[in-house]
Amino acid sequence: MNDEPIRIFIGTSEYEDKWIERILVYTLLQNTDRQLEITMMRPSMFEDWDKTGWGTPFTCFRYAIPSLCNWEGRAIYMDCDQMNFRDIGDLYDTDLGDCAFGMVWDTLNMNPREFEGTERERGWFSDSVILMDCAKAARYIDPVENIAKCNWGYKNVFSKKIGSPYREKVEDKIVKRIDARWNSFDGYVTDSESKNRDNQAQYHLDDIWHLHFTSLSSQIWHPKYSPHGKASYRRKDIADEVWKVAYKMQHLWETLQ
Amino acid sequence: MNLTLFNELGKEATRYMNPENDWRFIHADTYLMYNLGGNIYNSSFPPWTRSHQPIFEEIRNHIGMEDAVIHSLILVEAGEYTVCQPIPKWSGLIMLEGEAYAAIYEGNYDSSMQLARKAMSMHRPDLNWWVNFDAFGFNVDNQKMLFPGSRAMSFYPKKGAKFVYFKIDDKYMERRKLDE
Repeated sequence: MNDEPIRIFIGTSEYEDKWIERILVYTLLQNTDRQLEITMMRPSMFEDWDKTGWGTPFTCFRYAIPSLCNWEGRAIYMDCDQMNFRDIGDLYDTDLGDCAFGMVWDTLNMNPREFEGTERERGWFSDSVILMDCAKAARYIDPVENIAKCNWGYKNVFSKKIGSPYREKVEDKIVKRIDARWNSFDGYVTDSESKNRDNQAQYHLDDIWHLHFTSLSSQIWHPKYSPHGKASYRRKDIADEVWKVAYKMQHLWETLQ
Repeated sequence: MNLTLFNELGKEATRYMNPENDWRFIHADTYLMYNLGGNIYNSSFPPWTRSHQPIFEEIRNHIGMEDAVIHSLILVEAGEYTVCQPIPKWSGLIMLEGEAYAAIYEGNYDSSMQLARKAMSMHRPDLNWWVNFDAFGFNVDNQKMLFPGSRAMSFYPKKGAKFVYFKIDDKYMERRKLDE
């Protein structure tokens, strides 16, 4: 077992996501014997950032991680709307080769409008879980002052910088494609061949290593900042699992008060 | 009316669920259990999945429409700044805890809704002369259901008031009228 603490950065809101944060952190700790060094990336940590056009209160904080780590060592980024099912140390130890980043391939990721109607309309690496080599990331991520000032978000700037949407130029060179079970979107096989969510294969609950509640409408907890309508959650087995942990977390919280 | 299931749901939801937003109850903590809209929303919250049908049955029995299609059901916990949209016809409120004031309109429905929209801003609804609005106002009793049928209603919960809101489906009511 590696003794190095695992640095995990979680992108989250100031207070609206506490419910799922507790579930994520609890499950991360429950499934590993390794030491975790968790940083919650909240808007109050980045007060002077230009947040225009972001889809969530934390969209671009992830690009500050290499700088926060002094451009050294490894770190994992994850959005707060996730739940862990397997030792996160296994992801941390993934061999990145010469790559700066490890990400899951998302067949359905929408690429910029200029690729609409082309074979590159969809498909790119998902940045909702990223394993980073902070030193190598320096080649692709701007100084944090520039990211903070970036109007309409740094997300697209970063994607372009690493070569989006030209997969063949990027895969195993800049981005290591990691096992899709590390970022399963609502139980679906994120890198499945199907271009239609309804036809995408789904993992059995036991095969999900790390789950991302990607669809904002159907998230089980509906954070107050979300402007989206509410839809039922499709996978009962996953919902049952989340509620089981939510009950445990509340009992733990009340016991410790 | 047996309110045990409603009270249990209220306790469990505020303890275990994440408070949400709802356009009908501004600046309140809301917990949507069921909604027929573009998509059917049915919460996965275990106490709801267990009590969903018996709760609907209790509502149907109490309002005397045994086959009513229930359009939505929300648990609400009011805060200091909560403002409620006018409560439309064929909607009901079940007061579980705390204090609230309500006014039921007797006049033409559309005009009443217009008045109720203006009345949303009232700070002390108990001081209003509701008779001028063709309405009557009253303090809402706990552990009772309010269902004014085809009339509009204004609702003013105080901080900490906990209640269940439900609405009967408009299409069901149209069909029912045609059948009568």
